[in-house]
Amino acid sequence: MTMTPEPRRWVDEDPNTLPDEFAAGMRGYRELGPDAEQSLRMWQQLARTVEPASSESLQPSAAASGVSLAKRMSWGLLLTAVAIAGWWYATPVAAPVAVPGAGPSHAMPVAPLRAVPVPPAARATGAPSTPPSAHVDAEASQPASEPVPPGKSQRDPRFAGRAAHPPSTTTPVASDPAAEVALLTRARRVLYSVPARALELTEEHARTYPHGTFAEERELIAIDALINVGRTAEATKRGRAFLQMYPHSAGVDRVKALVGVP
Amino acid sequence: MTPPVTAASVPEFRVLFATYAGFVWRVLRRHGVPERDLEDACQEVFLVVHRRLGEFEGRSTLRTWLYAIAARVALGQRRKAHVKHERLSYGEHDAAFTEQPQAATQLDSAEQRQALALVEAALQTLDPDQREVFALYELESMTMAEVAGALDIPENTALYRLYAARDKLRAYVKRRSVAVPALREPRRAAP
Repeated sequence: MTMTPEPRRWVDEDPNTLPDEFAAGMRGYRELGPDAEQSLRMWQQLARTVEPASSESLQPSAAASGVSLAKRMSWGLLLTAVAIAGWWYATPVAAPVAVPGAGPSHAMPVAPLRAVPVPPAARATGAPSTPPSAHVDAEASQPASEPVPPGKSQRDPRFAGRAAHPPSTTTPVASDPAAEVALLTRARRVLYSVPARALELTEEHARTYPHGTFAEERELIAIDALINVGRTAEATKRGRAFLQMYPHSAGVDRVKALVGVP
Repeated sequence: MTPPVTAASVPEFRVLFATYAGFVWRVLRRHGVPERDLEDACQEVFLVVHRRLGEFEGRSTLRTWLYAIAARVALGQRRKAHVKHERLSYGEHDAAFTEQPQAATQLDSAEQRQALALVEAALQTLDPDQREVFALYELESMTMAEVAGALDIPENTALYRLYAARDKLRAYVKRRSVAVPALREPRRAAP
């Protein structure tokens, strides 16, 4: 699956998920960097290597005084730029992806909270199947064999929502990366202690998210679990299918080792 | 005003340094370069950048390209440190990471420093793989494609690590908030 949704940034997602202090610490982290003195020292060292070459190749005839004046003047610019670099990062420089509400953020020195607050009531009353409101209605009125197209869920601002407890019902959900990861993490945790349970959880994932984002990770866990419960023939079969399906997976070596493929 | 060093899409080296020094600095820190070596390492990165600017083809973004260079320099630094002084065993690598917040901060208030220390301590509880994805996406505001490109992993893998990291951090924050009352009541209590 190549279409991975761009999740909302954590600080934007839900003001209640993160304590204020943690959010403040994250903003503070973005300002880490060399101080003015360190920047100056580094640049002076760099300039020794860099400047002669570049001024030579660019302007061999430039008057010495002119060059040094230009250097002097650009110093102020450089230091200012270092000082503002912090918030420069906060707005993705080369990012082609449109971030909702990114426009006005230039006015602020650090990444502003772009959260569009979701009314708490909408969340509190949410059914166990994760995407609330519109999706639930749509699914309820349609046969279960028609899952919500992925594109639709991507536009939902709550899409990347919460690591809510995964639904215990088996109503298929298009994709909910956070909940999927939570479910698969649970499976991974018991992979060696209670492999049968891990296997059950992977099956739950397959049922709940037939079009989920992390089928690859699920298969990895399932193959491991099958071996751990002694169902090696099945593991081998599924492992081979995995290798065909995900030849570039980070888990290829692991699966090869598990199912005995050279 | 001097013309750009190479192609029009690549900013002048001076601007590049001013813009990305902080980014490179943070990458080096996360990759275990001790505070005292950061300046040297950062300088080294930009020397490499300058030397190889002509090779930058725009197939990746500048940041992913810089990331790859910084990560390699950090690895080299750690090796050098290891060979020279044997001062960075794996355990000490972690220690170097946690000891840093006080020294490196230019944040003015004690509260800000404390908040930063909390975040760095929390990052320290993550697996390195998850930490890097989280840092690049949530702290450096990269796009998911950039993160995947910088770390040379599939986007789905990056996404998975991001959510796993968030889960762990949520749990960490929760544990901490039980232990540290100040965290539990970040705002003044309502009457």
